[in-house]
Amino acid sequence: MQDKNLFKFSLIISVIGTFLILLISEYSEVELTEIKNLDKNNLETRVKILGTVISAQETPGLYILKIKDSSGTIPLVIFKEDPINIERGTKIEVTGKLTEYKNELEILVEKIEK
Amino acid sequence: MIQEIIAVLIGIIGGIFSGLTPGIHTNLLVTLLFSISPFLLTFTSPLIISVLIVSMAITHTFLNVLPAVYLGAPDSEGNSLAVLPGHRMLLQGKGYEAVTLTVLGSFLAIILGIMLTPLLLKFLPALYSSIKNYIGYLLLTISIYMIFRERKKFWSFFIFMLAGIFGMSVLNLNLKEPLFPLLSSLFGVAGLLISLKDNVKIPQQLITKTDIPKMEVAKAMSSAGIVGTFVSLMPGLGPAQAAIIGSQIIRLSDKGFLVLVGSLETLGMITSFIAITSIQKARNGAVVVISRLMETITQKDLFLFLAAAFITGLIAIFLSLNLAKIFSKLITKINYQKLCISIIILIIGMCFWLSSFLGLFVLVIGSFIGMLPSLVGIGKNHLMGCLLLPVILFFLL
Repeated sequence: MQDKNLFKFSLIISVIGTFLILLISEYSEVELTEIKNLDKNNLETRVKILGTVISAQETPGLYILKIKDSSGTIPLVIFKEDPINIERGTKIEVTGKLTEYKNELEILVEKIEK
Repeated sequence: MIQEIIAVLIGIIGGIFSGLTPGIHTNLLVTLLFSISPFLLTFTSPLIISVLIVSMAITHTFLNVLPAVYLGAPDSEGNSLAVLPGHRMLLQGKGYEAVTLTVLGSFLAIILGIMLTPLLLKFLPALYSSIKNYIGYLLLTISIYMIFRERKKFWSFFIFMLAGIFGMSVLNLNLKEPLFPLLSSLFGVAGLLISLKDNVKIPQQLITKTDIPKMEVAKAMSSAGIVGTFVSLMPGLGPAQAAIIGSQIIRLSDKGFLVLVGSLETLGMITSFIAITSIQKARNGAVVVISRLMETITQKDLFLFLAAAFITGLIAIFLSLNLAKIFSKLITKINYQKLCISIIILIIGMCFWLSSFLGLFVLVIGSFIGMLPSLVGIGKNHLMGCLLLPVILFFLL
């Protein structure tokens, strides 16, 4: 009997809780920001910026681009999945996780839109 | 040569720390190492730091089974599935044997990985592109099969979908370490709460050799070789999905499943070193950092990594089995109820540190979802919907 009550309680909390987390994830879209606003307080969180590619290089498993907007520049790290067709001068919007390398901020890209 | 040996030894120390501490993943240590790499590079080379990373990552895959089996606290998607049969064996007094089985799987995986290297280097580029298009359908078929195999089909489907929607939503939240609250709630806290409810007592632990039939080991390793090698190379997939696919393809006992789970995490790590060399794809945090440190990775570098992995594996066997003996003695002397409560508090603390209040909310909800399979009486593997559903949708949409 105790198990039955625990089951009912767990089921209700699970369904309501999942629905709430789904709502939070739907309505907590990452807001577009300027590069100058990114600092170490945002580390490991998702950020979105819009800018122009000013350089591009490759390592064995990654593309490393540099992007600039009116407020500054920041490197972007992109996993090599499909080849990316981005040249210098291309304007892109990127969403990704803000990380740090050699005391410099960079974005681990999850999504790119031209 | 001295530098390589020192790198392997330091890597092992790092791997012991990350492997034994629930919630500390290799990625966390590798990221820390990466941030101090400019300093390290003043007196050593990127290759030596990479050897250290290889050694740390391999040691982690051997040792992280200890908290999973003895404490019921997984720290990665790879060993979250080991909690289930591993903890079951602990309750039969066979915790040491459970560790022996995963360690056996891990070491055989290193040998298998080394043996497969020439083949993978040659055929991986062609295989990769052909398999990639079918992974979504394969996972969907496996998930449907997993649900229909259960007697209580409605509840299997319901829990798979609930965990799936929960997983997708959590991965979409802007959390620092979303996998920690997600997996430690579904597979860690939930199991510990059920143990508390059932007033579980840990029996005297036997330190015995495993009696697993050689055929069962061969079946587990064949499954690992066929599935693990390729599944671990796909984006978004990892050892957990590989274990589900592998165990559905070939029927395995609890013991065989532990060999499979142990092998898949290590094999995934080994094949990721091959993948970065042959198809230039970084598949885990350790390889991402290696890729950043080294401008090119040659086959000679790969062979050094494999040699480091082999030596690390030999030392890690000794470490894991001896630590398992110590854990087996200690676990019966400790009040298990108090231990469960302490681990839950530790997970709550880690979760708050990593993911703040939102992470705690995820932890609470996930713990209730994680208890559902035990309360309904179906397999906990349906909770893997939390990772399977997002990956299926990623490949099919």
